[in-house]
Amino acid sequence: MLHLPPHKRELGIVFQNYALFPHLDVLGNVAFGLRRRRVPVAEANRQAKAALEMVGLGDYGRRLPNQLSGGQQQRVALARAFVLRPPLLLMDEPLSSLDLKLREQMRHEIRALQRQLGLTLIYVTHDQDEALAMSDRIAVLSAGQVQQIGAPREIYERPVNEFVARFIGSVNLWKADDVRVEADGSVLARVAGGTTMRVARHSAKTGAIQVGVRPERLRILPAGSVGEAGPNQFDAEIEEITFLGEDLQIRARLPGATPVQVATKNVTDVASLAPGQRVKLECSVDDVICIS
Amino acid sequence: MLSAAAASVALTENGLVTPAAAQEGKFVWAATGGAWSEQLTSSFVKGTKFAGPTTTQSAQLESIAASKILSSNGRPEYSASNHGNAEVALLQAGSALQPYDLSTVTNFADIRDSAKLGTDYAAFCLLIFGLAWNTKEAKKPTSFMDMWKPEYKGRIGVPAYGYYGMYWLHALNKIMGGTEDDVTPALKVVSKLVREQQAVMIENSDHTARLFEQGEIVMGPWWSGRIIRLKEQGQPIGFEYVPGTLAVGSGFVIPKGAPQPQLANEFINGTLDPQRQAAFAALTRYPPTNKKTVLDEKYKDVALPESAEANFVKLDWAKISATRAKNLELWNKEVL
Amino acid sequence: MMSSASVEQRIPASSARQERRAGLNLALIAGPYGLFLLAILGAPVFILVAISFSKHAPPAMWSSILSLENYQRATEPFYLEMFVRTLRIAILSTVASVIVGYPLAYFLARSPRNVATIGMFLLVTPLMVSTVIRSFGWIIILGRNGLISQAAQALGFEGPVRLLYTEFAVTLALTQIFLPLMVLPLVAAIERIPVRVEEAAASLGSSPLSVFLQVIVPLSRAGLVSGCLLCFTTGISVVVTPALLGGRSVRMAGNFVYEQVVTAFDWPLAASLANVLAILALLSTAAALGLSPKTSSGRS
Repeated sequence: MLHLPPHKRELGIVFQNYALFPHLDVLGNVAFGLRRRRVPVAEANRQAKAALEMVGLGDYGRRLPNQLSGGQQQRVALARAFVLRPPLLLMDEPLSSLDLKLREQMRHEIRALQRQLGLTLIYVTHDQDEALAMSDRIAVLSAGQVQQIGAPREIYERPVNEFVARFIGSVNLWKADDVRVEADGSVLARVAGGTTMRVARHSAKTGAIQVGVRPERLRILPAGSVGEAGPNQFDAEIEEITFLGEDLQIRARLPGATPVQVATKNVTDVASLAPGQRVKLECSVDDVICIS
Repeated sequence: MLSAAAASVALTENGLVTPAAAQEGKFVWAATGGAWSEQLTSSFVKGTKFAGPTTTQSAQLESIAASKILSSNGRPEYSASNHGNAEVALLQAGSALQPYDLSTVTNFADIRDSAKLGTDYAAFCLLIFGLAWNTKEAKKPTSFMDMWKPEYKGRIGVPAYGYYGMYWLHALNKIMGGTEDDVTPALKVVSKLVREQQAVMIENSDHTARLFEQGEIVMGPWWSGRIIRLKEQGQPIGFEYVPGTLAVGSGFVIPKGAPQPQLANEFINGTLDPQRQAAFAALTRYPPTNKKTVLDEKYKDVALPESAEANFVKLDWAKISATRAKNLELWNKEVL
Repeated sequence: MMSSASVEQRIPASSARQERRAGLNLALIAGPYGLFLLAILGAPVFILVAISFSKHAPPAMWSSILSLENYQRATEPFYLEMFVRTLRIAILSTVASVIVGYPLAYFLARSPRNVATIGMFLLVTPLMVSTVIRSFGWIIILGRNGLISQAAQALGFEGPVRLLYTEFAVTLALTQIFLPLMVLPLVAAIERIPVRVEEAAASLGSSPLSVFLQVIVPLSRAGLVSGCLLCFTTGISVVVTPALLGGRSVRMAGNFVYEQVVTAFDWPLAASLANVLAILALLSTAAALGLSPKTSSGRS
């Protein structure tokens, strides 16, 4: 494709700042590509009108782009690109200049439109939530290099390197200073402060590795409770609790002052926690992330 | 109503407001700018009482200066203004000049008569408008009529009406037996020269120099001084005092009501001084008008040959000036 | 299927009262300036109109006798033909400047800064050379012994090729003079067009030529209009170029006005010629502005 001049690539593009043609009205913008393909005026306008109706702007054909809100301009840009039914549609951070509410609404609309029209979309974004919410497959890029390609869940739960792990969501990640392979194939990794974590066999790695766990995968066991001694239980002292209404964000320290983040729903069990309190944290072996 | 307004505007522009220079007692002389004004300054201002800061030059085309004097309602900005014969005649007709004070302009008596118009004007040099020719590509001409030879088709220069074409037309007319009242004989032949033989219109002296240099033209009426200087630079150019050659004076007049008239008379007397005229002739290669002027041996070319003066055409400058607009219209419609 | 529930409302920035106050302040600030402008721009026009209706009475520049004679003369076929020629040359050289200048302006506007700076410098340098000198340059190029004539003779054409003293020579020289006048406003206008818009057009299937015609040209219309106005108004008032390169037959309005002032001392005729020219120029400008559409719809 790279050897073709841009106008022959058949690649639809939705630009970050929409790049609508300010001298053409909305209908003119959407019909532009059709006219370049020598579609007769009447037919081009009919298709453009239909595309505008799909994005809810059926009555806006005679407006100029600068008479539209940001969200509306975004829809025009979208209609302008998909009206040509390109085999591939590239969206370059299409929602980055919209406010949060509108952004979330547009995500759903774009996803629905994509399904309805059977479009193949490449959706470029810096917003991890957007990437996770909209994608069938995600490619994480850093400095022009593909780091990992996979389904959203795979990227999140099995990141291949530190960049991916830290880029998508938040993560507790510690360097292992002692790594032992157990008989069942799992790995026992010790991090600074003496805490050990067991890594399930299917994600186990050896050598210079880092191990960790997503904050929301850590459970807080009631103080003093010993329970069954599970493989991944750690002592911790709560340092600070950030109250987010529905959620709590807790910063704590493992032995050896190793910091750890815990995210939890603000449920009755944890409502009485306070800084300084000693607790036990626990996570499932399957939730432990291991990267080399 | 509009004409009344125009008249009142003319009043405010020229009559009621006294020019700043006159108020300050400054002496203002008017002349064309550029090289000409430098030559005038070098010969007539440098080393005189006029070299100081109370003297200023006002630089514009001579015809513009004449227009300003004519429309100044007797309160001109200039103490002295540089013009050729035809414009002087125009200014005289408009009663816009005052005569020299001959008790101050003592050199007046030594000026050749052909360089004077009454006591309003005495030229400090003669500008000779004869026939220039390319000594490599043309044959030595004996008459303006050589310009019509078929071998020179497309390679003849004709001065535009606004650039001495008006004077040359009359000169040609005269040698063809016409008078200043009717230029038809000359118009007819010039028309043929321009339209059928594709002569080139020349607009000014630099233009002429360039056209000769580029070989665009090989013959045409032009000023003697410029030709002598080009010859000295080694260009293949010659000058002939053919019959009908124009000898046009250039001199200073005192507009009626001029500020500092005494200084104006003193300044003009300086331009008529034999030594200063010799210096001016050395600079410009134009012959002096004061009969007592002695030219350096080097500039013997500049002095008029005995034979030349017989070929000079005598013109009625007042008539030429009075018919300039009418003849321009004829020129535009019949020659161009 | 999408809802337009998210339409953002635009709230007027200022109330009517604030606008009235702003208007008053503007009048106070701009008033004296406006009067000054009117005086220095309006008065000469008024004088010119007044003189054009006065009878020429030599040796005075003009008289207080009212007359329509000057306009009768200025509109006789001889002068009308000259006006038509003047407009034709001005329009042709303006069009030529557009054709040569648009791609150049696009190139400069989209070049890296250092290339653009050098380009601009080269473009503007000729402005520092007088039109007289530049006309002499054209005599050297177009003359009978000039570059083109010699090249043509080397190629087997017979005799010297005469390009001087033609409308072509004048139009060519004027185009060269106009180029910076056309390119500078165009560069300013094209620079303001986001590159993304061009990329969008390309992604929608526009060839480079189509991007230029469908996107760049309509979006730099303001620059085009001001460039054309600059060139056209300069073009109808030139004196030196037609005098030196036009010869006897390609004389323009400026030459006639100039010689009426400087040679014939007939200011009333000069004033009426100038006024007829001004009216023709205003009419053609108005026509040109009226013909070019402001916005286009889906019929592009």
